[in-house]
Amino acid sequence: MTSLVNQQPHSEAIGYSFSQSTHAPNKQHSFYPYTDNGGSTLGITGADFAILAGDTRSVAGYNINSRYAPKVFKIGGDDETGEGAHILLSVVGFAADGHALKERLDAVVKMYKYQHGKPMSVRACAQRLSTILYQKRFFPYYVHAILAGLDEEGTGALYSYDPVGSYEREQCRAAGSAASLIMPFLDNQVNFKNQYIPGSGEGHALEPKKAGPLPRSTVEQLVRDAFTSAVERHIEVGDGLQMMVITANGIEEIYTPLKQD
Amino acid sequence: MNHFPESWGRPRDDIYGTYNPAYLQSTGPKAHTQSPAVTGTSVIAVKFNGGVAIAADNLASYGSLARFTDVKRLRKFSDTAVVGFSGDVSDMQYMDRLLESIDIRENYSTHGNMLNAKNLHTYLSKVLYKRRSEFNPLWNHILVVGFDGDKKPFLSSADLLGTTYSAPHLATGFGAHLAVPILRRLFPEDRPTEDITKEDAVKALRECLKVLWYRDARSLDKYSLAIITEEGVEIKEDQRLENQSWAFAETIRGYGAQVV
Amino acid sequence: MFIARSEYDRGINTFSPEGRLFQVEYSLEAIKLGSTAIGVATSEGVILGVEKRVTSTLLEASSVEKIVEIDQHIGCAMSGLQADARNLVEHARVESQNHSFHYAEPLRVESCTQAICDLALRFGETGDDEESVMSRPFGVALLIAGFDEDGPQLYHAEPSGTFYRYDAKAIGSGSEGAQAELQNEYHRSLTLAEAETLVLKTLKQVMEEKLDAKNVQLASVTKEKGFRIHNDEEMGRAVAQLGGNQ
Repeated sequence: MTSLVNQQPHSEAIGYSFSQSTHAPNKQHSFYPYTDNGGSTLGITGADFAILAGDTRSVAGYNINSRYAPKVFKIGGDDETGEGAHILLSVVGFAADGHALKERLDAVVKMYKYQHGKPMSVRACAQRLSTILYQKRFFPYYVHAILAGLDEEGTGALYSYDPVGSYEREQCRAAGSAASLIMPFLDNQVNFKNQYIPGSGEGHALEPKKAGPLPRSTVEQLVRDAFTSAVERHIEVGDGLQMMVITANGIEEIYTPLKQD
Repeated sequence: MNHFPESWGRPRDDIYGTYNPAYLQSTGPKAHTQSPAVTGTSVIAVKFNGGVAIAADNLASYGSLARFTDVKRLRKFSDTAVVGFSGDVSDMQYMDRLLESIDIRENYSTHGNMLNAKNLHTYLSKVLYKRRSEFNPLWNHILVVGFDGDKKPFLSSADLLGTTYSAPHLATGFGAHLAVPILRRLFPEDRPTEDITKEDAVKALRECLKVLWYRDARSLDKYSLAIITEEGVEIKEDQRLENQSWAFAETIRGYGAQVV
Repeated sequence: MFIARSEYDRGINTFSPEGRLFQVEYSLEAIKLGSTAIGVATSEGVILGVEKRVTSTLLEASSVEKIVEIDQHIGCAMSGLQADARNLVEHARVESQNHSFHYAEPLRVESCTQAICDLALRFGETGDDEESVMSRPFGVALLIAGFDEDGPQLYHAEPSGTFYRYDAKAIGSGSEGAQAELQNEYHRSLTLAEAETLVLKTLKQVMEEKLDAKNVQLASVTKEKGFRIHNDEEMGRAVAQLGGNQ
């Protein structure tokens, strides 16, 4: 009786298809959830301001999706106008993730103000952005983010991130496809790397030029130069330059055209 | 006759060889769309003074087979927006159902349907981004046309990854390669859209569709064209390409029957 | 009065026809049974003081914990069901740690108080699994003292989920008398040392037992040292000084 009930009909001499184990090898997912929308961003701080800039081109491979797709956003302000914001965020890499990240940080900053009755400091926002990125450690937001604002003393503050949330406060940072073109230029022109005081000595005695905060006009010109140069050498950079300058008086947005080729 | 109902209708191993159990898989990973099946090709759209024009052909291909030749890929949403779909047709129908249910729900509310094209684009792009984040994408690239909250003409794109962007003229798929350069030449981006008439825009779209019909093997000479203005949406769904000239064909060299 | 009450005091979330939630009101009564706790805020910092009610000579007085730390800059004194306070304090500690993890800054005292009150209101709530999170309101009130960018602050949080900021506040069985005393004695130019004396003096007045270094506990929150519970030596000194003053 037992043998009848527990009979294994599948183990007959003639092999039926269903008697086979159904343990097929796992199918490989062929869908890749990321793309690179190109472009570059750049941030520089001064004594009482911070500038965040980015080109406005969006690409898909060799195609130009749009000549005006901004990468620099105001955080914590009005949805449409950005009024009232005191923090800037730039995102470059996968635009959809960048957009989602921006919206999330914006909501966090607004909620913070409701919950704690004070505007979020850039330092606090920087730490929060890091935890947001790290929480998606195993399915990262594929972006290089830069956060800018003014710190408690009113000096320009700039924080740069990798896609999984490592971050650092810096004087300047270039990110995105032309980062490797712009960053050495910034090392030399902002941090005065490889610049020495003429006639200060011979060989190792030669004194390095001391870096300090630069005036706003100089920084703005450096940003323009960095981008016009990047446009010449990188196909994904071009169309327009969006600059956001944050000072004690608020945020100023400056748009200048770049070459469209 | 076999006595086990489980094996009825299945190929016998002794005749057909071992059955590949992968097809019977009931455990293991859930299969999501890994590639589209029945697909639509390019959608193209241009902004003009007071509105937006959008066009797509009426073909749904199954691989290289022209499977359905009467598929409407421009979907009207209320009187405020038109969505043009390229990519997987079943996913298009799913998204169309989403739109329909929103439209019905909105119309039951006291304020009526107040969603504009911009709202719709935000919604659809979030649906697409959510699905890609679940590794279960809706395999589409869409264009949304209509008006924004300030009653200005609106044209924006969203793809299966949730990437969004907008421009005075946009095209998906093959159109991004073939139609966009034509549109950029006709209507340079720095030229205000107010300078472009409805007639210019429609004419340009027809021209682009003709080029696509010439060079995109997955395209059709039957197409739909929608124009959205303050007055509402006007969709023409059974358009045919006219004034085709295949004269250029004989100048093509390098393959086929020609040797010289 | 009481007959009408009993109709509406079973369901914790059922309003009476007069618009009252009796279970919440009863929970406030539970606090009136608790030992007295006092807080006084000055410009230098906040002093918290509690009566310990050492009911037996065999009881180890140091095991009666009625003032606890929430974070380095926030502490609280309790009156009512101590076990309930553990839940609230645990919640506040987690919130505080979470905040500094996410924002690299200390949690504000008001936000901390708000977080505690958010939890206080979660009685009778049904979660997703249709199970009640908490069956009744908390039976404890807290005096939350802390120091942040707005200076030293004192908050009083109740089981009803409401909270107010105070210059000086007394809760528990002796609260009525103590509050009247604080009302008379408090002024804005109080120093921290004076506040300490005021707290002890007020406690002494309302306590049934004779006040000594074992049956009261003091704590302070200052900018420099954050939250600190007075050790035995400091307690001894404070009580001795009080004796000298009187």
